[in-house]
Amino acid sequence: MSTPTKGPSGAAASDFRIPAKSSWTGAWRIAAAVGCLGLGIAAVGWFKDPTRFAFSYLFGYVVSLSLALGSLFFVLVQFVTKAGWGVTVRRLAELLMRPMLVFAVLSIPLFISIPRLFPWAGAKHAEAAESHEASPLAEERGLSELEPAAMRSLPRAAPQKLEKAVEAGEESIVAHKRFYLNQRFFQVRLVLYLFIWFWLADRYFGWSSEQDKTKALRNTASAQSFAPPALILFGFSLTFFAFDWLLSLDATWYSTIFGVYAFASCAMFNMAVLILLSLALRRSGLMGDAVNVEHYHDMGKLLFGWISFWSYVSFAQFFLVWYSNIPDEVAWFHKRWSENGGTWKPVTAAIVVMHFFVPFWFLMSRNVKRRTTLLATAAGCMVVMHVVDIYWVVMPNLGAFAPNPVDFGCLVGIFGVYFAFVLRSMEGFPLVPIGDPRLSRALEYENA
Amino acid sequence: MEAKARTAPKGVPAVVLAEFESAHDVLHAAERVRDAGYKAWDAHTPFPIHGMDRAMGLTDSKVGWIVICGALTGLTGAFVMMHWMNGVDYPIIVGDKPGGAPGTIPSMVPIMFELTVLLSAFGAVFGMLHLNRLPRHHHPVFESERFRGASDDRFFISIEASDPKFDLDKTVALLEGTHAAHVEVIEEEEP
Repeated sequence: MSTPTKGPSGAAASDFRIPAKSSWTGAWRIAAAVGCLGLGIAAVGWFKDPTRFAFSYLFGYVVSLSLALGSLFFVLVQFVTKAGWGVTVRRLAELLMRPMLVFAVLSIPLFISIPRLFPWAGAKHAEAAESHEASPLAEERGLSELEPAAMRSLPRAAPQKLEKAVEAGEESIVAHKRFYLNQRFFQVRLVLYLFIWFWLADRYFGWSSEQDKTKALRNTASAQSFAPPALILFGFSLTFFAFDWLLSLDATWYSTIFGVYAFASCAMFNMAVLILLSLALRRSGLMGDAVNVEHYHDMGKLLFGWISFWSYVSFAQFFLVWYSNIPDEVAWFHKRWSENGGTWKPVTAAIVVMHFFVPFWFLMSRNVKRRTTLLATAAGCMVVMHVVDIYWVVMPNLGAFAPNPVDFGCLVGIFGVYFAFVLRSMEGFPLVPIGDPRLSRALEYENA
Repeated sequence: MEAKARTAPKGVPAVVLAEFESAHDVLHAAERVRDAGYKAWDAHTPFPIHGMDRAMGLTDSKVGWIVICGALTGLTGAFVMMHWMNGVDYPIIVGDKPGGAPGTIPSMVPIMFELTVLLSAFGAVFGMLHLNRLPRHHHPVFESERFRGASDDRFFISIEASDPKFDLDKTVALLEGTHAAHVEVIEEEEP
């Protein structure tokens, strides 16, 4: 409900398509080239150290996939709430979720790497040995510094006994999970998740892109009525994907909230990327007035909300473990704090500060959310911190914090290939769902 | 006293009330009143109208500053309270964690969070009431029978006589020139 004089001024001027002479045309080739270069580095890594490669690849894969999944979630929520304001940015999210099939192809190295990634599938990592034997780093600092006095007074044979006892304990914990954590079922589950995501993304993109031409209301109606079951499917598949591929890297650890943690990361990452992408497109004059300061204000609010939600969930996860202080449970945080030579400490601290404190206070003000340069700064920070967060979840299971060109190659490689498909399909469709019945409401939208 | 209250009010004008038939009309009328330089006036509509803040020349609400004061008070208050109780006055060691900061900050976070939220909410609600000068028992606009429509399908602008720019004839003329469906002067007893 608003001023009738203000029409869809931007829509009249352009059809929201990328013109042939725009610098966005053909940009997919750059992304594809960067992606292939990254995958090349990753391939070298595969031959040099397949275990390191497996972890780096999982890290890059999860970062890229989380953007596609966050976008799928954004689209589903737009329909389930019958939201008017977000119609103008919904197409960008739809384009980001569209290349779901790419992830199916890119998942092949993951299938091969299962025995190298997961201790329950037989993987033995340097870390497991490191924590009980002298690591090179421990030797540098002098063993006495890291080892408690009681341990030093024990005869040298004792650590081996201890190690055996720890292994036996871990084995008995994992034994209860064998019905779930076995390779066959694990692989079937990944296929199932990928199929669900592809099916949902394909359906929603199909409805929306068909509506560009037909302007049929029934597409919106079917998208809306299918959204609640789709969200349930999405929630279960994302939760179990996070349990499988991130949580079971340490199969002795329990965290029921881990799926929510992964979900919060996805949603937050999607919002940050949507802000940056729509700003970049607007700067090139491709969005007209379709995405204006009112929409940025709302996306800023959502980014702020997701940051808070992520912090709430990750603190809740830490808090219960910290409070009960049971060896099994603290192990996960121990790896990221004092174990591994303490190398992960600064990363953990950086996540607390830059993933929560700084952006939380920074984004609180209305004026910051309405100033696009400031909002873009916050969104850029969150993109970086999301990558760091996933790195922090995946890599400590392998060992000490030691960034490697293979990590970078996998991240850039997978993301580049994925984004090449996004950019390519951007050229084929209007950047705004021009057939959506709520488009005029989104164009006139204002924060009251 | 009673007899006096029942006599028809025959005093000074208190408010000029203009009635409009659409959100569009009231929005443009508000722009005219704003441009004429009035300060003590208000718009009454049955639902929020997008763009009304700007049309009325309203700046950002100050309620956010009240909320952040409440939030910081809650945050520091909870921290100081728990550090004093568990770390200084009667130290408690649970699970080998020494009482008080910095050792037990995680255990303080839930209370710090709750008190922050509680005092922020108080700041938002009571700050809003204070800035709107509520609660208020009566206002002259309620003398008008037509004003009941403000909660149904009618849109109003009221200009108070206390406004420094108020001039009965000029103000009525201004409102009549804005597509108002009806303009009335509400009078009040001389104080």
